[in-house]
Amino acid sequence: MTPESVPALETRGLTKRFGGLTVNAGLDLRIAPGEARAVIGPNGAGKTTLINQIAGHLRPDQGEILFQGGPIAGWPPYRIARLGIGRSFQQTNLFFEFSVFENVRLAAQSHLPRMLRVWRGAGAYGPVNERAEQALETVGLAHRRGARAGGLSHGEQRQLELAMVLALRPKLLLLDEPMAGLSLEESHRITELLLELKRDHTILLIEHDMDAVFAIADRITVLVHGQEIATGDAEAVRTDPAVIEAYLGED
Amino acid sequence: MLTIAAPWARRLAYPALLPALAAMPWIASDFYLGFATLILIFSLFAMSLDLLVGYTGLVSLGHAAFFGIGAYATAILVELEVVQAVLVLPASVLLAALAAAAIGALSVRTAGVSFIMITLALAQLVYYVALNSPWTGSTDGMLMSQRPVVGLPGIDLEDSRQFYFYCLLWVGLSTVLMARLVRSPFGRALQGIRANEERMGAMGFRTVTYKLAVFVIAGAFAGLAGHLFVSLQFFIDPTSLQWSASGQVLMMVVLGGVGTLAGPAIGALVFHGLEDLISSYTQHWMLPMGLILVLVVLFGRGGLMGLWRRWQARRSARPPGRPDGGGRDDA
Repeated sequence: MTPESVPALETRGLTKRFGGLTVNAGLDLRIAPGEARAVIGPNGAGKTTLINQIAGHLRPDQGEILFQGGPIAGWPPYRIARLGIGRSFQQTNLFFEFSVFENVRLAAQSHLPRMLRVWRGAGAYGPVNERAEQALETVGLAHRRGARAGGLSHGEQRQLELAMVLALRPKLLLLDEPMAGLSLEESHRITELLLELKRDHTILLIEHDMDAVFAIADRITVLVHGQEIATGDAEAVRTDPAVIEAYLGED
Repeated sequence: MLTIAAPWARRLAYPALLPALAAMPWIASDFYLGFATLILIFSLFAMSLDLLVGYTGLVSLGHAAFFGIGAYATAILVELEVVQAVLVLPASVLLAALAAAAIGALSVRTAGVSFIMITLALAQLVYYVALNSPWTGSTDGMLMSQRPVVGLPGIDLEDSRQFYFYCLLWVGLSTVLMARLVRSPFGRALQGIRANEERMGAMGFRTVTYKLAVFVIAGAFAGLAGHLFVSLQFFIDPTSLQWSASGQVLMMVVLGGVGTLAGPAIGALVFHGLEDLISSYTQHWMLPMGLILVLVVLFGRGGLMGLWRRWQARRSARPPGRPDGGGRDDA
């Protein structure tokens, strides 16, 4: 196999059950390097469960997860993050009492090689500050760097959520509904941003905003009741009878 | 959380504090010099606990174990006629740190009430060892025949003024170290863990290792406080490492204000001051003390430091300072 043919992310028979409920039923996903893949599906389809397993927040019951060809299933989140997989959270998950800058600076700090740096002040690490500053500028939040994260508007908090992921400089972005609760205008801004990030990142995007999904995703996977019912480009998915059945048939 | 106190305090209070502390041996009577030495020691002890409670969110109810191990190690070594401070002090600190590594390894994976109970139980284990071991004099405790010897010409720790400066040196040095630590990347990561441990993990921080590291560091500082304590009192017995002793130092931290370094020091002063004051009227000094603590917890968010800051913010008619907790933009 040539390196190009190794998927950035692959799942094989990925299965997760909560009690009697099968939330992911044998998912086989292959996401190529540089691909932007959207995973859509009705509520309860198992989308967040999928991300939680890839990011290490849930342990799969069966199946494998491969990142750049290496198995990562069951690894703790910190190890997966260090490999270059950055996840955002569906429920905004910030350090609410800290400043905007400190939220991003902490994320950037995770790249410092040694843990026990106890002498110099945290603000004295130039590369960390630069990385944080860049992430804030990328999402358009640099002007709010001194504000308290808990005092931001919901839209700004979603931007910060993204900035924290970007400050990790990940190769693969796992984005769990980055547009949740955003106004139309704010969604547009995030869509623009993701289109930009797409150029040098592999993206796995969970999103309900279909305009955003069609704009960003190269390919779309549709999950229903934990099962993959279709994968393809926007046109293929839109016209897939199983997808139409799943989305419209229940009405 | 990052500031030791409000900026005005750093400008005014701290420069004034040092000369006052340095002049203490000439101002205070013997009784009050001993009291001041005790406050220094308990400030160190309480600050070390606040590294866990206030900065990392680890509420330990077993911190007295490390204080006790430092104290007993010093007493036993002096008893064995190893009296040089240059040996006794590092050995005491190291033993406390080792014990903290062992207890921390068993406890930092748990959180909340489990963590409180495990630290409590393991510290009680240390207490029972002190209570029953032939080395420690069991319930009678240990009398120390002399203080450690520094071995520099003209220095004699048996002199209470010189011993005060010995304590001031170590407590001062430790305070500087801790103040730097809490503002360092390591310290910021600890505060991140307190605020949102899940997110820290998702950002690549191995939080368990951070918690174990700070547990060992805090245990080492507590061991140093124990070394100074037994040297001050010439005496140590198991009550100093009982769970109630851990509870008392936790009270000092809460009283003064968690998440600051000045707070626990103030807490140590107020706690011991009130104890002395109230117990001169009644032997049931714990009752009024408990009431005061309840009031401070109910009405003084952030303990005495919190009250002080809010009062100061209102008085100076400035908008209140930016919220603490890593909130300052140091770039």
